[in-house]
Amino acid sequence: MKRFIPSRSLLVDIICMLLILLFVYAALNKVMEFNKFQAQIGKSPLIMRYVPIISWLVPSSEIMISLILLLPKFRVYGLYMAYSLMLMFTLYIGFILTFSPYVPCSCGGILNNLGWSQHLVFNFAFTLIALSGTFLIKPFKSESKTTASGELNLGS
Amino acid sequence: MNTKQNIIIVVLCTIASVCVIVALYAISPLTEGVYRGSFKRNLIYTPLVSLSELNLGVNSFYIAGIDDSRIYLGNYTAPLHMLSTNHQLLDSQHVRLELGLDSVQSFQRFRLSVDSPFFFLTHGIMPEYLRGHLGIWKATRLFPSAKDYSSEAQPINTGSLIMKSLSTETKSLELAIKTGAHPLRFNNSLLNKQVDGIFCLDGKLLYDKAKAQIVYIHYYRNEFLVADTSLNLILRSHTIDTFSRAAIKLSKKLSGGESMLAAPPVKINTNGAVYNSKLFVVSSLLSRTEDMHDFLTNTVIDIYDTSENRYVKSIYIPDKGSDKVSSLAVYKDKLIAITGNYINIYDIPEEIIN
Repeated sequence: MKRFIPSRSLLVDIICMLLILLFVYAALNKVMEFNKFQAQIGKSPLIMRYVPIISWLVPSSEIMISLILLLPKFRVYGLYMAYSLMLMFTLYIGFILTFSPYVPCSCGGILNNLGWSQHLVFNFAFTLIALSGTFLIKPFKSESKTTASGELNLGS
Repeated sequence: MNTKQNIIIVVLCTIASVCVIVALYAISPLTEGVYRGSFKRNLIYTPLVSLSELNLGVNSFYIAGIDDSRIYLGNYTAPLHMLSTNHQLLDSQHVRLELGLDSVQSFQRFRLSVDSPFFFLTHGIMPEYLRGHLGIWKATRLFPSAKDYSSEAQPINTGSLIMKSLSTETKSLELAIKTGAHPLRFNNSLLNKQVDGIFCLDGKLLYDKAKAQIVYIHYYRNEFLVADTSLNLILRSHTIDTFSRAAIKLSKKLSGGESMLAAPPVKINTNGAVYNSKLFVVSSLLSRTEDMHDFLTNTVIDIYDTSENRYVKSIYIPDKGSDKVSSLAVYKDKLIAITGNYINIYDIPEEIIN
């Protein structure tokens, strides 16, 4: 008899909700104060050359990933993308803290109140959350599909 | 999919993310060399002689003033803590200054300035301008009920202050003089705006006590000006570099009427000191034929004669580790510099004084 593990899919749901919450909040913050966001990244030595591209790309990626995470069929891809994006954010902060000659100001609403090293920890935590989501998520199968051993497997 | 497939995909994602960040770094300005200007420097290569050195223990001190017997240091993180030494950097005395005020805002904003026999504590935002006697150490208000906001305030003579303040007339920063209870008297013709009148005019106000003159150095352009203590312009001149326009990029309109830089500004002149018409300007630019390594391991100072309006020579002050000179002062034939945690007194080469 296949064991039904409700807590696992519940965990995945929670993980996806957390990621959606984070990305939507962060994206809205950037878009609502768009000029300020552009000015802030314009001062970052790593990305100051690509302000027009990045200022558009980051919030739209965040929204897009959030939408993908909402659809059960494509969730797993959303989790991979979320992991990659969070990893890039984490590496970016790590880079600024170690190699940059100066620290540009941070952006992101409530996250503004975090210091840069706290922000690093926060981003790293979310990277791990997305990562664990990819391991916890079970492949999406449409309803009432029987497995090879003939048992009923409901959803994922 | 199983765990093994998952791990492979995760590893691929990780590599991709790392590659993106590494690629951003590789094409960023951080991998470009140091900019080399087209101007030439007349450098004195013989190293400066350090006559005395003192380890201050912290890097938060700045030179607040000098008189015939002592050197006075203020502290950025402890504004009421004054340290004074004699001219051999011995006999150091720590004093806690007393502030004759009932309430205080943004306490760390107070700046110490010493013009014997007085010391001054100025705060351009509250705003408060206080003065006390050296030896008695209690500072009281200079101007009873003034609301003169300033971004810089330099005491001259014994009761007046030269201030850099926002003019309601020109809507940009201007130099003004405050004497006693009289209102702030502006001279709007001294500072000329190029971009926004606030960021682009950023600079340092210096007082040449020996000549009773004010010197203003612009941070983002190659201009400095000399005026007397009534703010009459004596000289408007240029530093040896070629940057005549401030490379300031402002953000587009922000909510709340804020103004923000949208790119790091190109700082040309970063600090300065003046004594008896010899103006010492700390430059951040590498000159045409200068050795790159020397430039990176020293703080370069260009020296000008304000009475003859000419460039004299340039000297190097050695860095201490990765620390460059953070505070500079000149008194007679001595150059006093704070580099990292250390304060040094250097002998100014003969050829510069004459």
